[in-house]
Amino acid sequence: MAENGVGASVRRKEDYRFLTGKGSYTDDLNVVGQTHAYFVRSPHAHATINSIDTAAAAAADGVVAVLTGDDLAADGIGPLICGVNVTSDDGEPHRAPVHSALAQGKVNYVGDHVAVVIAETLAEAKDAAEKVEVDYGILPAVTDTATAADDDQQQIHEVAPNNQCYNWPFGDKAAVDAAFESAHKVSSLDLVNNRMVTNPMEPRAAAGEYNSGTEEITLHLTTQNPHVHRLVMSAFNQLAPEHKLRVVGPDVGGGFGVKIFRVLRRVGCRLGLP
Amino acid sequence: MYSEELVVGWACRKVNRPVKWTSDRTEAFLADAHGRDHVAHAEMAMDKNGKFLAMRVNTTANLGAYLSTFATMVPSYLYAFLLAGQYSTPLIYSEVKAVFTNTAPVDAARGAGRPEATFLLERLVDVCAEDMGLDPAEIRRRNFIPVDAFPYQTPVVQCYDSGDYNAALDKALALADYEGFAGRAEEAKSRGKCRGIGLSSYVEACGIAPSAAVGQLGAGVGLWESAQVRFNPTGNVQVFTGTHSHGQGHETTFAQLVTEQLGVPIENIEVIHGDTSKTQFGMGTYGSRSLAVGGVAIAKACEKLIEKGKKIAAHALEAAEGDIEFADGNFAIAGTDKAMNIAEVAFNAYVPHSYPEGLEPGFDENAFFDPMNFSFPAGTHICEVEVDPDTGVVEIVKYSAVDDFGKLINPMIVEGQVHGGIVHGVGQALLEGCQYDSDGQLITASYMDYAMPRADNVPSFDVDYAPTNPPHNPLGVKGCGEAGAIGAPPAVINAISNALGIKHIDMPATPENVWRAAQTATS
Amino acid sequence: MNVNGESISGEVEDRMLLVEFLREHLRLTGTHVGCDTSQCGACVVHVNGVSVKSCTTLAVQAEGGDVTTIEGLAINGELHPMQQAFKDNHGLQCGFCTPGMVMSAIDIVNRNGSDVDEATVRKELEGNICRCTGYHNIVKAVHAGAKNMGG
Repeated sequence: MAENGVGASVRRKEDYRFLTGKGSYTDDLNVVGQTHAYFVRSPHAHATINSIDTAAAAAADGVVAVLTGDDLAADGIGPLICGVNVTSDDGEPHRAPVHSALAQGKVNYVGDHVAVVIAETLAEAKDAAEKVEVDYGILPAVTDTATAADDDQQQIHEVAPNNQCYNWPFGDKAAVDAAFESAHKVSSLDLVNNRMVTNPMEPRAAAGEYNSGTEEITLHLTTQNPHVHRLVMSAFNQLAPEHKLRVVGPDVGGGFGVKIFRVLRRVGCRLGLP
Repeated sequence: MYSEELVVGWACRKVNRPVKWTSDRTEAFLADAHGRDHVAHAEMAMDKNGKFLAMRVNTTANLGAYLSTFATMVPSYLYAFLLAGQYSTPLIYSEVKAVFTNTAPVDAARGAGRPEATFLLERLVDVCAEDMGLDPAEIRRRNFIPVDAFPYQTPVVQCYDSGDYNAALDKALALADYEGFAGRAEEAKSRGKCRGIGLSSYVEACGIAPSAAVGQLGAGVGLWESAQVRFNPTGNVQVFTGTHSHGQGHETTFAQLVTEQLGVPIENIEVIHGDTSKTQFGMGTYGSRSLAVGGVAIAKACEKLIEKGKKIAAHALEAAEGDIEFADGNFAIAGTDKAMNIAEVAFNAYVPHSYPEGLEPGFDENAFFDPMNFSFPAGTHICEVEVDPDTGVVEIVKYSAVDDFGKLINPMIVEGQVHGGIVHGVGQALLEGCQYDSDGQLITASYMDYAMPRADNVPSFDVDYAPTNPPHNPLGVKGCGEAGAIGAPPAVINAISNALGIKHIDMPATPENVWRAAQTATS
Repeated sequence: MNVNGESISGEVEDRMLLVEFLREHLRLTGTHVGCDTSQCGACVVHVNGVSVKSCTTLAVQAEGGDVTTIEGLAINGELHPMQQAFKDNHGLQCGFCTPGMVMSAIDIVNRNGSDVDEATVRKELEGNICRCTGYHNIVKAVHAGAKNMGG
């Protein structure tokens, strides 16, 4: 075995920078002319957006821009995608509601993204965010897993009757049922798998920079897979062509799946490839 | 992917200024993808010896308000396909209903689908043991896939690569002093405490995934990984990987692979990742895949360098290429003391003053690796708890884990991954519960309301290994990042159920929930 | 104030937090912010030799004081015994909670002595959350660091 080779508990090469405060996480990056973004989020779990008035916020101290879902749509930025198809028992693909990065006409959970305020300082962005006037039409909320698909529940998405995304059976039901019929003993259990918030210690962050000379966007992200981020932002969201978009995952403070992005859908089809 | 990331990328061009956004913790609770959230009913049919004949599972999975990137796959392919666990149950039927609610999107969280499958199965197995009057270790043993049955085709798609489940169980029972438990329970009882012990024998699927396997599921992209290993003229090495490190220590582990294979001192090796303008295309890091897939790509690039190095050394040493042997960083003419070390070969490759036609300068190779199969780490975790029936407080007094991760490249790092995974799982079992009220307000939106595991909630752990050799993986490695989060929740809940003599308690087993269960159990 | 041995002065708003002053004015980004409720401990620094959460300390409260951050521990590139112990014992993974952990650990040893027991270490680390390590190796590191600091 080579010294420090396979099987050796080599002390980590990355530790010195982390132990001396020299790690470089996304929020540690600062560039000249940097502005700060703060999101206006829905305080309601389920509501229509009747109107958004950004005038007062846009006029507030230090504000560079206040942007909404309409601006996003006008620029042709596509919705967020889900990458994996599951075929339901009716033979149809799973139901996939449109997920705009900034809400368009409706919010569907507390924290949903309504608008973004960009200002010279974070404090100014936060102050201005409070001046964005949103007229909501509050709808009943669905929160319980077990009863979400019941007939009397409020519908969340038109494309998903009974709030069902899919019903996916797998296995030979008849054979299994027959085995149960003839079993010596059947044990059963009802259980809940509790909802968790993953909580890597570094909160998510994004820092974008545009070079108008080269027309290139550089995006530093708390990401577990920068290339796939770039591919999807380019192919599905039309943010910029892949060769004009650089995605960097600098030091990332824990992932555990929350900062992951992957796509299994037919990217090739979307790109018009065979 | 998240709204904020796309919006920042778009906005920086729109306002033509750099834009930075950083989530605060409350926003993280509100808008990070959440994990788990299943309601399930499970049944096992057995013969008179407690042999599993068939399993039937009905699951409702909450996907939240919108489909996050991975959402549909987590409670389907990553869940139902792991329901066989370590057992030879011949028939399995699963039905998963995925629903929308007015809550944050739900997506992959450490283990993604596999902890849900394992919690259900390993809890059900304990109920089976109780119903059949068998010891939990015994019922597992009676149903384990035997060591000579690998590769083993389960009834739920997956074909397990390698495993010796009895070996891990035996080692874990010894590590936990399972035999001595009755005595410890008796002693605890004299102090008014209820002591319980719980087993969890899990399988997980790592190294997601072979392109062929995901292709069958309707995937349009491959899930290979890539690497570039580049010598600079002065002999140091830059390793570019498509995987990403966010705590796993790839900068060290991957350098170990290269020093092992090429004989370059580890301090002269730099691993570079995470920048689309520096590294070649890669799939990133998830599903404990970096070493099992990305590590192999690096090894393959090193192999190419060795082949090329032989050509260069043959030219420089005026020998036939077939006579050059490579070992310990040196290219030598077989049977002679004429040799060049790999740094000299690298320099030579960039100063090709007299290269013949056909000998390409440069010392820099790329490789892609697409695995033949997932890898299937497995193991047995045993948790021992002491419950105070008067307060409902659960103390984990001992936790033993024996895992099969295949070959270990850096045991120190692997052990750290196991520790972290266990505490993630203990957090789910004892502390963490994300709660919305009926209006859809998140009532656990800060660390004041959402209990994270802290140093005084857990003990130190006893960790050991029972490795097998996965035939599909050239490095013999399996993956270790999620094992603890998968193995721990059922081990902890089985221990609490055992301590209180109850059939089941839902997670999180907070003092209040445990106290209520204890009151019901004794009344 | 004195930060890592250097005299620093600056005009700040009354409401500016110490962590903002360190990160944004002095660009000492080793001190992290991991929550907004003073729970996670990623922001721990020493003020006059005692650990404080810099996310709940106003910058003006440290006026005239001696502030030590993670950047001020190593001397001429040589790690403080506690930093070295974290490296030797693999007491860190992603590194985000690490600066706060190390600063808290030093304070724990200063207050409890170098033969501090495991239960005390675990109890006193209660204000520092780590999601990666499971604490096992952090506790080991604190003990090893305690010995080295004591010697």
